[in-house]
Amino acid sequence: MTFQTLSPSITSSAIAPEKPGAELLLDALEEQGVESIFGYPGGAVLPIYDALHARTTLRHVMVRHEQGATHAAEGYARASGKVGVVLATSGPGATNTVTGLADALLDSIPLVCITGQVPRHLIGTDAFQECDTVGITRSCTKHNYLVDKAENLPCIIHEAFHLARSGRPGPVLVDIPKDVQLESARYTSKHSAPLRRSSPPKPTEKTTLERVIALMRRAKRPILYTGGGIINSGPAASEALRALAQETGFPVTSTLMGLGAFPASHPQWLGMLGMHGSLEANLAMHDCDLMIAIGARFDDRVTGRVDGFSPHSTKVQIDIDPSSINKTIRVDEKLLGDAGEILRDLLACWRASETCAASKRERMNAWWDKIADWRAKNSYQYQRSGDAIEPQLAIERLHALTREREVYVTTEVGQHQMWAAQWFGFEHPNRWMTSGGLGTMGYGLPAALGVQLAHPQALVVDIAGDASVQMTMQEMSTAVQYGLPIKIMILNNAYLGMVRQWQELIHEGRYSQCYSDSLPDFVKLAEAYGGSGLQVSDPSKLDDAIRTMVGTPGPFILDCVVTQHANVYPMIPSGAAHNEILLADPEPTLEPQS
Amino acid sequence: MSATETRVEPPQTAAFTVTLDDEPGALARLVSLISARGLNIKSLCVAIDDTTDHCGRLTVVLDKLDIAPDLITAQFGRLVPVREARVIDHGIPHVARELALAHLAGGKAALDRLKDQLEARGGRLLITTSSGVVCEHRGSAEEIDRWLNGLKPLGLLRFERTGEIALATESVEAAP
Repeated sequence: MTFQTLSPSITSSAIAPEKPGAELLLDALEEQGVESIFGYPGGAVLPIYDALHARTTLRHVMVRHEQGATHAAEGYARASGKVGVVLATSGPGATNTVTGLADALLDSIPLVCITGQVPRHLIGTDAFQECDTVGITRSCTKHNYLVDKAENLPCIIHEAFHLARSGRPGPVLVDIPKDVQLESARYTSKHSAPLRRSSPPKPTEKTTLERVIALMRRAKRPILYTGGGIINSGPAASEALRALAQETGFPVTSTLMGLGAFPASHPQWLGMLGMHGSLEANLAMHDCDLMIAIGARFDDRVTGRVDGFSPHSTKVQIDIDPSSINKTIRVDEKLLGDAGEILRDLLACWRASETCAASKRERMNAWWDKIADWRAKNSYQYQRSGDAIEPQLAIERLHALTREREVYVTTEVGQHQMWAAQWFGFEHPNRWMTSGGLGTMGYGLPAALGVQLAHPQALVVDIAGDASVQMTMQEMSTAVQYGLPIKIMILNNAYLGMVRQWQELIHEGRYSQCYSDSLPDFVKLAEAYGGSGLQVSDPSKLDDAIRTMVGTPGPFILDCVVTQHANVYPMIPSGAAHNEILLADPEPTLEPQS
Repeated sequence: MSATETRVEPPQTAAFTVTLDDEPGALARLVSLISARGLNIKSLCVAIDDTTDHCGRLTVVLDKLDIAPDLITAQFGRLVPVREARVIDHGIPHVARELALAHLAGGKAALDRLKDQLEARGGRLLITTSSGVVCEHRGSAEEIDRWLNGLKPLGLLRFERTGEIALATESVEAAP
């Protein structure tokens, strides 16, 4: 193995005393500003756990399954803006992190995952708890390393953190053989470590900015299509977006991952777009004449059928990842770089640009009138029965009763996730943690642990489904052990709700394997773990139940029994265009596919 | 521009040149990125170069490619060890060459006849063995195809070919 590019300079290493690799690792983590680690010990990482035992500077949260550690680290990273750190042993410890790594890769969450490996002389011998960790995780990490000797470990850790947080953020894995953890070498500080991919991006050419501003000044039907890149850029990017929207008067929509970058209460907010986005957001995307995509990657759940996607618009894309530009949709102008910086450049250029008669806000009047017509359809509407809790009502009330607090929401994946995105109005960035790209059921509960650790005083609610929450339910035990008072609100319809919805709409009502005939008693389950819980099914008792959940110290499960057959609307069927959107309708809404 | 231009119809063949850090797994990353997208490698030619900045240099040829080649170079650019990736397609002035080695059967008696026929076909004799001759030929992939087909009637025992390496002859936009 050659690490010419990573070898420390002799002068810096000559001063430091020799230490075992495990100590070098922890020194590097400390220097990188790590305070919390989510992990699970095992044979191949015992030297690291031994070193960790003596450190008071690093807080370790022992999860109950390594998948939980990865999602907790994701929640921590997304809510704090820091890099999330995972520590797992070799073999099954490493393979259990794969789902979380893939999740973080798709949602651009900065993680560093440290795994133990069998000693170097046993690699490739089918040793106990051996697996090809770098091979298995190669395609679900931004980069990964098998550390060849302790001397290289500090530089690798520094580069891993740099790669995780720079550019389009993502997970980086470092696999450390057990004998490397025990081998002595000198430390290299982060200032002496050579880093790849560290040259700053080229500033956007002024002429490109001016061309974009000219398009913006002329546009009669513009839209800002925003995404998770704005959240990743940091709160300043959200501020810049708000200022740009304010000054231009453009309507704003967002992907699932971008919720909170623009306040949901703002009059220019159209709601989320995509498969279950609002009518006004999707039709505005379809009919616009200028689309400015900011930190959004034209995901298939957003575009629908690509040849029917916004056919008459000029498209501008702002993204930090060159491979996200033109990937599925060809754009007319590209601005490569950090969303926040480019938004600020655009704002400055907008302010400096000349206004002419054609650029007056009145040019957009007809557009806003059209948007008002779409809005009037109230596309998220649902029928209230009064004798059962509709899932949308549960989210509406949760939002209403917690909006005055510092509240962070995580979700699992499925119908409840879409209803949460529709009905929980986010006003601030970093408050919404959900698995967007990979769609990982079981994400929300462990993610809530990480969020709570980052914000101990905040209210952290996992809006869950009865099916998803059982995938990582064991982390309730972690919540109790570490005193993390997360609240889990289960929208319990006893179904794999989104599967049931698709089977109803697309598979002629053949409900194959989507009903849970024997759900656990979630209240007793909460109590068994040492938390508390409550079940509610009467809509008149919903508010009190939510108040009880929020007001009870410690981890809490609210088992909210909801109507069983509600569907998420609007819905753009897979492979349809934005203007083929389906609305809630008492009549059958979709012809079965032949 | 229309949305469909991210795809290529009909599928084409394109060569890419990539320079990458010399570290374990660098080539595996590139190859698995290609295979994960269901693309087929027609040839792959790689060497570590120590004469300048110590890196791996490779040419990979993808056939039946239905994704726009510039999107492939952008994907290569995501890989941390990749320093530079370029597409070499029909629109870019370039030179492409492949090397083939062939072992032809024939005793001492047939040697002169073989030499003559090799010369006529553009090959170069390298060594004579107890069982025949080993010869080489350089040219485009199509020329190598033709040369090997021409050798078959002469008693082709075994052959190996490198796949093309390509060199752009004027500067092109590079990624990342």
